[in-house]
Parts: sequence; C-alpha cells; structure tokens
Amino acid sequence: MANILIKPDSDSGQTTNSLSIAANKLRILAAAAKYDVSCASSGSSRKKLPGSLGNVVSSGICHSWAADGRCISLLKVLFTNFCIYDCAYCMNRRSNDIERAAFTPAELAELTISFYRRNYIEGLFLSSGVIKNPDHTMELLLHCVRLLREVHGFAGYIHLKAIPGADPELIFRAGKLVDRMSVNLELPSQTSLSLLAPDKSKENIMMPMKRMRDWHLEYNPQIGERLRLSSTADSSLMLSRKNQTQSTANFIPGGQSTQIIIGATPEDDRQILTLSQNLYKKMRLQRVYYSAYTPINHDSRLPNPENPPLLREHRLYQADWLLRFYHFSAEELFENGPPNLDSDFDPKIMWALRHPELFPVDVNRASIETLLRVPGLGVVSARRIVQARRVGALKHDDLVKLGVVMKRARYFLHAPGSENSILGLDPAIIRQRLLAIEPQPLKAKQLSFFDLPGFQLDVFKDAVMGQF
Amino acid sequence: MQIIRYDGSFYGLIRSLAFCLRQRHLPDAIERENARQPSLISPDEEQNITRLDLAGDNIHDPAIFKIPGITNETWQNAWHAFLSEAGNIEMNIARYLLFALEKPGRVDFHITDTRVSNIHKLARRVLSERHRFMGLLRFRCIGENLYYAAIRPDNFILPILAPFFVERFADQRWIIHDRQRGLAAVYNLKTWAMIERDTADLPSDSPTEDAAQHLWQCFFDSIAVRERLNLALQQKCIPKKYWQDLIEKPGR
Repeated sequence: MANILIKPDSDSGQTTNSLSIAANKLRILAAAAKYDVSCASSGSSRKKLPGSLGNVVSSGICHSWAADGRCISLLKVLFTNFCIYDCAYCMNRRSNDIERAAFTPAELAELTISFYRRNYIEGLFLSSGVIKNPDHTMELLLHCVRLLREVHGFAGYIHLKAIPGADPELIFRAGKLVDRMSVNLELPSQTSLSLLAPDKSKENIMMPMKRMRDWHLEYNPQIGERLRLSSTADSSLMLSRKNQTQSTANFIPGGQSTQIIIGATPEDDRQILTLSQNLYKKMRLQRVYYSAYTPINHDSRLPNPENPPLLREHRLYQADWLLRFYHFSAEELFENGPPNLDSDFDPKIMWALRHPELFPVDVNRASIETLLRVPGLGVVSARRIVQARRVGALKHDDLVKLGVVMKRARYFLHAPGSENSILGLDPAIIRQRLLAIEPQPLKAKQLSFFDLPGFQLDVFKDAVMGQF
Repeated sequence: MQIIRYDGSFYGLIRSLAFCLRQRHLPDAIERENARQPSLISPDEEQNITRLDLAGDNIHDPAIFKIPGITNETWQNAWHAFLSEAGNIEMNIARYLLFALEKPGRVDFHITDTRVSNIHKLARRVLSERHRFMGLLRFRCIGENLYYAAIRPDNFILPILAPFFVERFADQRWIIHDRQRGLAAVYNLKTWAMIERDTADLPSDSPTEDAAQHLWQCFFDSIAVRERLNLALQQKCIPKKYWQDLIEKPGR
C-alpha cells in the first residue's frame, strides 16, 4: 500500500517529480483533515531524554494561523482518506468521488520531523479514514507513531485518533506513546448517529472512550491522587492502581478530547451542553470541541444552511468555558430560560440577568467563585482582585488600575466609589443598556477567542494557546 | 546629584544599584555606558548549560547581591521588564526594587501601585512576545544539521528565548539572529552563547530547504476551511510586522 495516489479522471500530465507527488498527497490529506477542529498542543507533560529532539509545553504553542483564522499548532493530516464507511456528513465517505491518497508510516514520520526541526509545528495530529478494517488502520497509525518515538527519538506532541472498533490492545499500545487521544462523537445523540452514520453506534464510540479514561487514570498516578483528594470525585472512577509501579510510561498524559458537529441535527443547546458536562465529569475529557456544520455533501438527510452556524458555535464555546473554568453547571445556564443560548448576549450575562437577587457583589468580600460569576470579570481579573485586596481594600478606581474592564461589570460589582445608581437596576433596563454597548450586529465572521468571556492574556496562555 | 552608570546589562544595572538599594534611596539618574552590551561569551568557552537556563541574567544571578526581601519572582519581573528596553526602564526598576524593600515578600500584591503595575505590564509584554516567537520563529536548514532563524522582535527577547530552543532542539545546531539588534544566539549541541552578528549577514539555504518550504506552504494553504475564510482574524493573530520572516504566506 506504499505511495498510493489515485486521481480519478486523470492519468496524463502527471509529473514524475517526487516533490509534486508528495505535495499533492499532503494537499489531499491535509484538506481531508481540516474539518477536525481540535488542534490543541496543550495540557500534556512527559519526561524526555536529555539531548533528544522535542518537548511539550503545557500551555501549548500556536505556530501559525490559517486563512480561516484558526491556529495551526500541529501537522494535522489523515493517514489516508480511503474509507469503508459512508457517514452522511463526512467528505471522505466512500460514496464520494474524490481524490484519495495515503501516506506510508515512514513518509509521514519523516515529514513530521522535517517540519518540527524548522519549528513549523508542535507535533502531529493524526487521524484516518478506515481502510480495510479498524484493526488494520489502527496498526498503521501505531506503526507511524512508533517510528516517530522509537526511531526518530521524537519527544514532541502527538495527538492520535483512536479508531472505533479497533482491538483495545492496539489502542492501549498507542496511548502509551502519544500525548492525547480522541474519538469523535460527531453527533450528539444515538438517533442522529443512526440516521447519519449508520456504520457507527454510540456504543461503538463510547467503549474506547471509557477504556481510555480508565487507563488514563490507572497510568497517571498523579491524576488518581488528585481525584482522591477532591471531595467531588466519583468513587466509581477510582480504579485499582496495581499496575502503576510496573508502568514506565504514562497513558495519554494529555487526556482525551472529542468533537460534536453543531447544526446538522435537531438537538438544542441544552442537550448539547448537558452531554458535554457528562463527558467532562464522567468521561474525564479534557476538551469537547464544537464544529459548526458546513454542508459538504448533497444528502437529503442533512440540512442545507447557507452559512455554517458560527454564532451558535461561538456561544457554545462560551458556555463550555463557563462549565470548565467558571464553576457553572449546564442546568444553571438554562433554568427558567429557553433551551437555546441567547444570540444577543453571552451566557454569563444571561444567567446574571435572571438572578438579580445575587447582585451587586462586593468586590472586597466576595469569594473568587462569586467574582467569577460577575459579567465582565474573567479568570485573570478575578485572580488579580483577590491578590490585590490582600494588601488593602479596593476602590472603584483601583479596579480600573488592575485592568478590569468595567463596561459590563459596573452593573454588577460594588466597590467604594462605584456608581451606586446603576447597581441593582431592573434586569430589563440593564439588558437595554448592555445591548447598546454590544457590537451590533454581532458579526459572526469576526468572532475570535479573544471575545470569550473575560478573555485575557493568562487564560490565553493557560487554556487557549494551541487549542484551535 | 547622584548619577549611576552601568554597562548595559541587567546584572551590571543591579551591581551598580546595589549600594543605593542597601541605603534605601533612589539615585537621580541612571545612564548606560553604551547602547547595549550583553555579556559576550565566546561559543567555545565551556559553559554549564544547566546554569544558562536561569531566567535571570545569562550567567549572573542578581540574587548573589543578597538583598533581603526581594523574592525570586520580583527579580524575574525586574529582569523581564528590563528586556522591554522601554524608556527610563532603569529608574522604574529602581523604584520597583526600592518599594520591594519596603514591602518585603509582598510587593507583587501591590498591583494597584504604578511602581508595580508598570513593571508587571512590561514583563507581561516581554513574556508574551517570547511566547509568540516560540511559535512564529522559523528555522531554515543551512548545512549539515545546522539551522538558522531570523527574528525582529520589539523586545530584547533573545536571552529568554534561546534557552527554550536549547531544550527543544537539543540535537541540532542552530543560530537565532535578532536582526533588529545585530545579535545572535548560537547553539553548538553543548552550550549556547550570544554573539554579535551583522544584520545583513544572511546565510544561504541548504539544497533540501526548498522542498521542505514548499511542502509547508502547501499544508498551510490546504488546512484552511474556505467556507470560514477570516483574513482579518488571521492578521490579528499574526500581525503584519512578523510576516517577513515567516515561510508561509498569510493573507490569501
């Protein structure tokens, strides 16, 4: 299966130049991987041999940004876009008449090293269509990863897809070599899966996810320890750690992620975020990615929106941030409200407007958890407030000096010297006033992660770098 | 009228300031003897690499002046802010350090005080540019296991950027050339050193370099989702001033 390159409808004019063959293959297999939105190189740590090539940085690093504004951190390619499956939403489904190609493990390993040495990338993101059967595909991916780690001595970041249905032993061996693995859920419910991905089932996807979670806990003793200490830990997750001393390498130290396509099927935001919350809590996922559905195939089972629902995707990411960094629950975000997020305001403002009884918050007394719930305050601002008030009470002007953006917060946050007349205003009036300062109309195309709630430099470094 | 002169390095600045700090008073002015004088070390000189990864000065750690009450974090902030080369940075560092002596161990909580917020802001600016270049720096192969990168950063980040690449590319020889300042960090598989290098001194690529660059451009173009084209966001993330030293061509 070496060097396959099949170009339908064209057998003439093929140059024999090996560079153009390599370039063509890369073009096909990068384009085939582009709808996978994950590109994170963060959250992992692994020991490396001194003097070897590469390392991982826990904050992740973006190396470039593509024309769609998304960060390029990893060499993101499919191993092959041949596929035995026929999922409705996927450009690589077998019924599509498209150019197909496949790398060889050695070729892809060398390409990765050549890019890495030039500092183009943090590492490799490797996914694949299913060729022949899941085991065969997983073996090819494992082979490539082994070449990188064992032959090239590469210690950079590797994100590998687990192929659903592959032998657990293969997945386990791969997970001992890479930083992060993922299985894409793609669709938020079994009904949607059976309709659009008849060859896949929720069980088929959840099984490897569960196994990887268990191995991750078992082979990363420091995580088990953290769970044990945290009172909220679900005791059923505590597994025997008998193998811990025998294991030499961690299993996916960067954890797992998954992706859900938004807008191809009828699930509402509440259903999607409840699913995400379960994935974070029960499956211990590091990240859930949301991908606004872009119509690629003509298929009567699929909607045909003119533009991908980018604003909805953006709001879901904001809400997801609230789940992960702001101690919100999915239930809170939707209680006494519609099952979809608001298009005018971010979900934190919406929550605050539904809870006038909790505001205003006293900047000098409130706990950090309470501060995090104030619209306009981000993780960095809240942390700075807590730090600064250790050496003296904060006045309104001090907040500005700390770099707190008061545009939204001034309606919810009380400090000596603040404008008392606008505190405790009727939510309907606050809504009116905030609407006036919201960018109108919110241009979905301009959205970036700089617009996430309370986005600031440190969060950028801690969480966003390399994420998209 | 007390005017302090120093050699242009951070270590030199602290050495000259140490007396004032112990006496708890602010000099009237601080002047550089020359524009910039990094501690020049010849690459042949054997240096212990583990000592070079101090985020303090290249080889000199200001903590040796044993000025009590100044924490490591405070020294780091001062050092990073110093690398911003901002106007009047020396006096601002002196004010910050004097305030640190007044508030031993706690100065960095006083973020509403301009003596502190000033330094913090500059340090953040320097660190974020460093982080940016950890990603945007591009090596070209210019010989057998030898790589070269040109950068033009706003801040003098070379002393804190080089150690990152020493760890990452431990098994390849490389040169990082700050073409804004005519300085280069050179790593020879054992140690790195800072040397002077003319801004026009550009080496030529090795024969395999074209192919690698072509493949990268090809990947860069293919990975974008055209239905989500957003050149404005792309440019916000990679400001134009950095484009000239990239391999890929943004903006299309």
